[in-house]
Amino acid sequence: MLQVQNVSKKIKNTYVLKNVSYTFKPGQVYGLFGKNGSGKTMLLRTLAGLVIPTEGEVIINNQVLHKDISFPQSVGIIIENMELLPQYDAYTNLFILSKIKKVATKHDIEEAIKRVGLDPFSKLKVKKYSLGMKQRLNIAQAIFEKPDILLLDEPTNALDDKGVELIQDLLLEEKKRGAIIIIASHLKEDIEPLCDFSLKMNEGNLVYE
Amino acid sequence: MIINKKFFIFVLLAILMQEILISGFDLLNTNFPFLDGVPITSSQALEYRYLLNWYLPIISMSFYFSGYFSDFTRIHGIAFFVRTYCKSKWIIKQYLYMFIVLLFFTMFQIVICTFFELGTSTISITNFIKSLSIYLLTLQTLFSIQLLLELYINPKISHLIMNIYIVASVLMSNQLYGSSKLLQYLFLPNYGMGFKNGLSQIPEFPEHTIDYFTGLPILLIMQILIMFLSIYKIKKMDLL
Repeated sequence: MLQVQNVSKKIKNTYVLKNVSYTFKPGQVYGLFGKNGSGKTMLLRTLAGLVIPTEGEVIINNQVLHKDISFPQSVGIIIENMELLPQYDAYTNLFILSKIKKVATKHDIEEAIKRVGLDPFSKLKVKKYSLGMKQRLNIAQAIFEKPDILLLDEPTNALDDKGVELIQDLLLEEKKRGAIIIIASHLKEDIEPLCDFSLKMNEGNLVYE
Repeated sequence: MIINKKFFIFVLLAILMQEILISGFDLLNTNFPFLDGVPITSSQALEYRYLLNWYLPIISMSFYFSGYFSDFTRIHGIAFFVRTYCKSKWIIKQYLYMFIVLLFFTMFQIVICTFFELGTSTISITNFIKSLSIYLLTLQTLFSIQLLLELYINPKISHLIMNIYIVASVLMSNQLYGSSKLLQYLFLPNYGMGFKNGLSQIPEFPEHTIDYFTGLPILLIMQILIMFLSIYKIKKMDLL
């Protein structure tokens, strides 16, 4: 269970999140829509523990973020500007990450890379990847440890139609596994069919649809 | 700490270049010249030659570590961060890794010096160990300050500030020799120089400004302080 309680975030005298409250439940897909600058990414970053709320709390399985834990204990994220290590290939990147939590096996890594349509045995370095390939690898990075929470900011960015379909199927599988999936996107038509709940962000406020 | 192979080799080449320059300049040194640093001398030409020799690997190492915290907290590190649970542990680990990298660079300097058979006088084992420990701790403190600054300001500015401070400290120490002894302790880069802390014991340069047994605890306290400040900052900062 992921609870957001009266969360506000002030940056340089401007509130980018205003008193946001919501409870996200396992096995559900939540779509977060809104214009650029409406606070979607900021909310995702706050849920991931990357941004510290000015007011309010984020509670994950009864643990308060930034009090009991620095980051959610089982989370996979894709966030804007996030990059993997360009000097390594896809497998090595995920292998390095897997050494931190030690919950994913080599098979999990290979499987995740295959699921996003990439070759786990390719030696091509990430710096030589196209934007679409980088985005697919980012998705593999988010899912390979089978996290309880998936926070995805614009996951269909740079993907072609086939890629979008692949990601949609993959997210449905993750939903069946019981993950809480929160997707922020300005492309409502790509994501909305997957969502159990559509939430709208408007000038830092969370509006239910 | 992720090793950037290209920059790593760049530092090793700079160390190699340092030893070639030292053997070419034929200056008075112990057999490990990088531990001697820059002496107190009235000859500016001599001072600059020693400074050049000593500074070459230092600026390369500073360049090697530059941008590490800022890149990590903004770009490459996000995927790492959310898997570590605890920001404090992460930052302490980074300083430990940094020490290991510095230890490797220093060992490489020792190997190269031994290979080139540099220096005009032999340093005693006791002084060698003392010199090595304070040299390593000085480097660790300087580059830790550089990384700490990156949590507050642009990494390029942090790199610049640190290198201006290093060069200015060495030159100011010589300029202010004979005035307040206490003032000399503000110039951290000199702590790690055998000529300044009196450990190189070359008779031609008897003057020194730093006492080893005062310098070492100052560096240790500085290191602990940097850790606390880094933990405090990383806990409060947004990773945007």
